[in-house]
Amino acid sequence: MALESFKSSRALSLGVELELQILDTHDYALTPMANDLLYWVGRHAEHPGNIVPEITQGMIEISTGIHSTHQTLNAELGAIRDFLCRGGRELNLALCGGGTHAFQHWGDTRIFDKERFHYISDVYGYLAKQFTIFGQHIHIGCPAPDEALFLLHSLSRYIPHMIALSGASPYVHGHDTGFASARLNSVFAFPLSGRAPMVATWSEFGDYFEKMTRTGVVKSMKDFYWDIRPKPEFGTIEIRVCDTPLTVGHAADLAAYLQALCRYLMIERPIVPVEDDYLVYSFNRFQACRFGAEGVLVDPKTGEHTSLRDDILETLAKIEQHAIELDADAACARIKAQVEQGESDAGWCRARFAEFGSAPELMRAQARRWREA
Amino acid sequence: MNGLPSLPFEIDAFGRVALLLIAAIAGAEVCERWLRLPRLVGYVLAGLLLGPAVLAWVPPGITGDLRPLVLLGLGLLLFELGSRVDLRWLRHNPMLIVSSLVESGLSFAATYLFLAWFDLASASCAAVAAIAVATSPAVVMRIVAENHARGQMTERLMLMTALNSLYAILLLEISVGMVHLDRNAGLLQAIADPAYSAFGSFLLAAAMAYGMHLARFSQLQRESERFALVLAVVLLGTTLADRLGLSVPMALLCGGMILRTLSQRLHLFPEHFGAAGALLVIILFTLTGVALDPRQIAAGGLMSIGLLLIRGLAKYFGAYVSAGHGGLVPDKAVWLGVALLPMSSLAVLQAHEVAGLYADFGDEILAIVLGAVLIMELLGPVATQLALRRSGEAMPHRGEGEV
Repeated sequence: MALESFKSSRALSLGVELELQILDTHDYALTPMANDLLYWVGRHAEHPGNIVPEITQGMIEISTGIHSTHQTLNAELGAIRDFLCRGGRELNLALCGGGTHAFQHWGDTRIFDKERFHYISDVYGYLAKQFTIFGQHIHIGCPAPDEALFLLHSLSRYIPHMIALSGASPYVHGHDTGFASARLNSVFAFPLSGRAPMVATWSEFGDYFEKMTRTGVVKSMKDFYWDIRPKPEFGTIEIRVCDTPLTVGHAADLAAYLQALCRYLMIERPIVPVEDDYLVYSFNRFQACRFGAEGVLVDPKTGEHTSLRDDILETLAKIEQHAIELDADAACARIKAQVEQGESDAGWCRARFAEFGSAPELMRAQARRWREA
Repeated sequence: MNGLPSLPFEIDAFGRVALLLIAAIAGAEVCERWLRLPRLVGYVLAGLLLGPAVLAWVPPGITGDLRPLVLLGLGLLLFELGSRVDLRWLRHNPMLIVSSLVESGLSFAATYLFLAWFDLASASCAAVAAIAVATSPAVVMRIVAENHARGQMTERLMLMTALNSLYAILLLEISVGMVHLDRNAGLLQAIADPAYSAFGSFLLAAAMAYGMHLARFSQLQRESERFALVLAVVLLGTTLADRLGLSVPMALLCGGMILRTLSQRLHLFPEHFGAAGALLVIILFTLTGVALDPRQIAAGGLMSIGLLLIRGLAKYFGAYVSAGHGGLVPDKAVWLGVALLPMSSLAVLQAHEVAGLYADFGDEILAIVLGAVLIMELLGPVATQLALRRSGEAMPHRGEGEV
């Protein structure tokens, strides 16, 4: 199967997908009610956003339309959240954000009955069930494929930022993992996870894709679980490293930060992507997963070690003008304040766990935060 | 030679109870592995087999001797069911109330008319119809636990079981009041008795729930102590309700519901009350089997079967009401009525009590009820399990059955 052509889309347009947890209001375990919720959604023809199943029955995915600013994106996300929360009340279930469920065991999850999900389950075995993790995917529109590849590789340096800013999965199987984003550890286990190959043009990318399909390892772009991957049918690149935040507001703020960053990269072109950029990619990524903004960031060119926090603050200063142009300055200011005060979703989870003393109570608090924030 | 026991020695009560428990476990294994039936059918069958009606291997007084354990096991399941019911759900989805009222109302009306057609006394018909309204909380809770069921139908099954059990208790009180009226006991007594029982049970339930809330149950970290506290509350509720002439099941069901409504904090009971809870459940169902008498089927005969068919149809259509607009997938709604079929073993106690109160209640009608209960003790769990599996909400192969 040949690679499809890259559809042009408006530069820096935004779209977001969020994977959400479906919880039992009795014990706040994941509950296999995706079918029930989707049936309820189907009975309301006029509903905001797009709402679809995900790989296991305890999760559901929402996605927005295309937006030029994060304000309208935030409004749409809020409308989808309110709509689904109404469904939740009628069906006695709760929804929440966060990258992992705090105490779910992978063995207790059920694969959603859909051909592709059964295929994934057959290929990957328990990894598929362990894939009951919840991420935010942000799409950034690109006018042309080569632009998209440039942006994709330039962004690799900033992937740790997105991980640190969104990290919301400190608990797995009822225990504190010590990670800000333990969710990404489940993604690494997939053989085709990681980074895209270092190519600069869409025709080179097409050659790579053809070689890979010839090996029989992949059939479509969907089989790559890269951190950033081009999405030719949308004309976007898709950043897939973020945990689903605890609130829709933070999800929109993350999109705004990324949008301003992309405008800076596309207009100022401060980076010429080269293969050596990826020397420390995995190390930096690990630091962000493990320690969040407290992690270390290594510059692949100079070998200089800085704190991720300082690098984010420095970047915020660099992209300020672009944020203003995109009407994203208020969102960036919120992110700045958070980083300066050392606040994060992962930290919030730990504080609630300490306050209430149990993982189910933490999940209840997450559900309330999702509903009310 | 004095120190050695003489053989063969008499098997004492302890030995016989042990035998009963072993038979129950063996029965459960046979049912699950070879017959693909719910384990608790095995418990009931073991009791039936060893009981006075067939082999008579258990001591005659066993149901009386172990009654406190039976009541405790039943009490725990009722209290747990109550705590699973969130009354706020009814406010957000009024179709649930409609469905519950239709299901219970239809069951009551259909069985009443069926019996009245055979010229049975109207107060007796009302009493039996009231008994027919209830779905067995014990069977539902146990089958849901055995199958690790979760989902929209399971949620509704528990909600509707709790509600129809409450309606049944109220209807039975009222029909007893009607008997009073029939015997010219005066309108005041006919109204006062059910009212006292209902309000009294509710107040006792509120006191139990508030007590647990004050004891900061939800913040107790040790699972064993949480279990002990629940046990204490259920024991207290049972004995107080009994002493005060209130309804024990109503007090426990409402107690659980009020606890859930009282505080947003999670009131998680140890999963199905752990090993001790499992033991009580085995005793509960085995002794239910011991109390059954197959001759009752012959006595109740076709009337029992007719009653069950009518009741089953009513439950089926009533449960279907919340499909579609009420948010339940039609594929699941067709199974909800089936899942609601188990008849309450409370019915046996209730029928005997009512019959004891009033001689003209009649052996005939008692036989109809007991025959129906006997059939449902065996078919009910099978129906509920089938419904949970067919609707895709059961996870039967998750680990061990118990925990």
